Amino acid sequence: MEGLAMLRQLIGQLQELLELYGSHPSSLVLPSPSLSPLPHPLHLLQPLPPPPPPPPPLLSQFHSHHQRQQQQRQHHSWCVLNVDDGSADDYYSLIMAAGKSGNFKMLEPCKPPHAKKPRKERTRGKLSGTTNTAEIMEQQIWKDFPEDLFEAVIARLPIATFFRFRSVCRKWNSLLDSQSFSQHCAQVPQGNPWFYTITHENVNSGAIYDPSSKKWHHPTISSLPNKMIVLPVASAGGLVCFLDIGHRNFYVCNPLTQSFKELPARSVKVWSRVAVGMTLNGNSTCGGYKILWVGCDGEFEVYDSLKNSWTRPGHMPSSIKLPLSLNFRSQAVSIDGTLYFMRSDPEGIVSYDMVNGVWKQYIIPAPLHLTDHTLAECGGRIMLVGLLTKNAATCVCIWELQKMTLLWKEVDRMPNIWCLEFYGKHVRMTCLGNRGLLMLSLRSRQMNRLVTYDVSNREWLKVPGCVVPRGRKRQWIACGTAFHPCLTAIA
Amino acid sequence: MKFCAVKQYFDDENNNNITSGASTTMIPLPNVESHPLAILITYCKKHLKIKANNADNKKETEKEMEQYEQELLKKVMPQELTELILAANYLNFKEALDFFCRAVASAIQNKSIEFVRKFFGLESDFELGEEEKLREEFAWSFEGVDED
Repeated sequence: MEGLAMLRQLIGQLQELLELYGSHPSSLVLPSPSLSPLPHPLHLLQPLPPPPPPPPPLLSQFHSHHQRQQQQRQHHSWCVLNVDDGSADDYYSLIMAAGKSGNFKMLEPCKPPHAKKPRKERTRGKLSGTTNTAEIMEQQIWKDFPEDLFEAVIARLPIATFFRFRSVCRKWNSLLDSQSFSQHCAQVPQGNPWFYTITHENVNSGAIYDPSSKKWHHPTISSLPNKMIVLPVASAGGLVCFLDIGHRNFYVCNPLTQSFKELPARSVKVWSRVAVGMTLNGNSTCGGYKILWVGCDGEFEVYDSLKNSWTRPGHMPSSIKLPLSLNFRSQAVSIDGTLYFMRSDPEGIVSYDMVNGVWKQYIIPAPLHLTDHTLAECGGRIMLVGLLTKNAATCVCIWELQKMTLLWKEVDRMPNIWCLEFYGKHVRMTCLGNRGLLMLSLRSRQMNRLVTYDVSNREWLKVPGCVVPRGRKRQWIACGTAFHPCLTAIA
Repeated sequence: MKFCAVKQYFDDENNNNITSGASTTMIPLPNVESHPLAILITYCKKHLKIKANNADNKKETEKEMEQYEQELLKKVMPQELTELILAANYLNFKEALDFFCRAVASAIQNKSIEFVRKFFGLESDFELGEEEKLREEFAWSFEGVDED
């Protein structure tokens, strides 16, 4: 039964193709299932009447019939369904596969398709999705293609693929230095951020997670100097800002390329813990970026990448209550050039406008029973992510700030089934990322669960465990940040 | 903005105070064949229509556009793809250029390096050992990929 449905589908597709080419189907051979099993002359492309289920032998009938018809078709530019290369079984399996994907590949004119697909392609199940791949394999077409437009295509490859294809030739290996390539990259809309994480097992280098392909990458050559323990504290425009573990020196790098810079020393020689925020001046790192650090005593400084220097733009206004009990586990959030930091005592948010140099304070009561909370943002809305623990039950909750009332309103929760795993256990949560897509690392004594949350479509997804290549043990995520993978961001 | 090159032509005309009705102006497009131009016009019309239908719902627009694009790809011949990219580039039709480049990118993204070389007619011009070094440096990008 299924075989016939697929045969009909095949015939339908052939009809379409014939319309496209406007050729006459005069010698195309197809069996009509209503006829008896004896070989028969054809009807061509008549809409099949609802038939009784044909016995499989019909296909082998077709096969032998087809062979007889072969000579008549020599001159025709169409060579569809050349089953001579294989047996009828192969042909049948071809139809079965095509039917299953519901998307039979468009056949090339003047070239008989292989009745038996090469095994690699078959096992990869490539019939659906990237269609026409077989057809685009014409080299001649590309010989005269202008280089500039080559770059337009390469800029649209997935990041990992781009790095793989750097081994194609010298030109492709040096694309990162090309101005025109950078311009093409700037035209490609940004997708999901990636996550740069530091694992407990390997604090010297990062493990990078790509949520689009759900793969962990372990770059062989770290962008950071060895023998230094640095923690990612902020990111903007594809660059990640690191602070060493003693809170002294800042470093900026693009985790994908070797672009790296150690920032000049700060003028304030106090090495207590600081909160850090990072903003871009324009749309990309070409326009420069700024990094702000602020301490609990109200001291702050701003680094300007264009001048490569720190400046102290003033003092915090007296209206802002000191000391600032900054929430250091929360990343700063940046919206339109203003940075937002979480504080407690009083609970709320302090913001700094990087363009105009103005500090503001917002008193916002925190939800009850809240722990491990961090700020995030999505489309200009300020969100709060945190753990709600009531009795023995723990749940991850998402709140949105109501700007009119300055109150947090709960808008989402992690699916209950996942929360059950933490029932009765002491859980800590780290939030990686602060915009759009967040990665949550939930740790209890024996396990480390990783989850991503997409704020705009409220989607919770599990993250595969982080395992080094040729390793088997899952790594524990200590901390990290999200960053937008950008090939052309320069520190 | 679609067909920026054409719009430019109209703007220039207005600036030169040529009094001819827009409907009767002939715009020379020497670098575009008629067939890819027809496809681009259809693409443009369809895009505008889908946008109008789903005025407020951006996600719906994207979804419908994706469906239309998938259908279109099935009907486009391989030779046409290069012509379409060239035409969209000449006409400064950004959305179409982006779409057709994405189509080619997605067709080659899972292929081996050898395949890509053959596909674009490129030769490996690395010195001895250079390629191995690169493969080692970017070993992470090769993980989980079957080299044909």
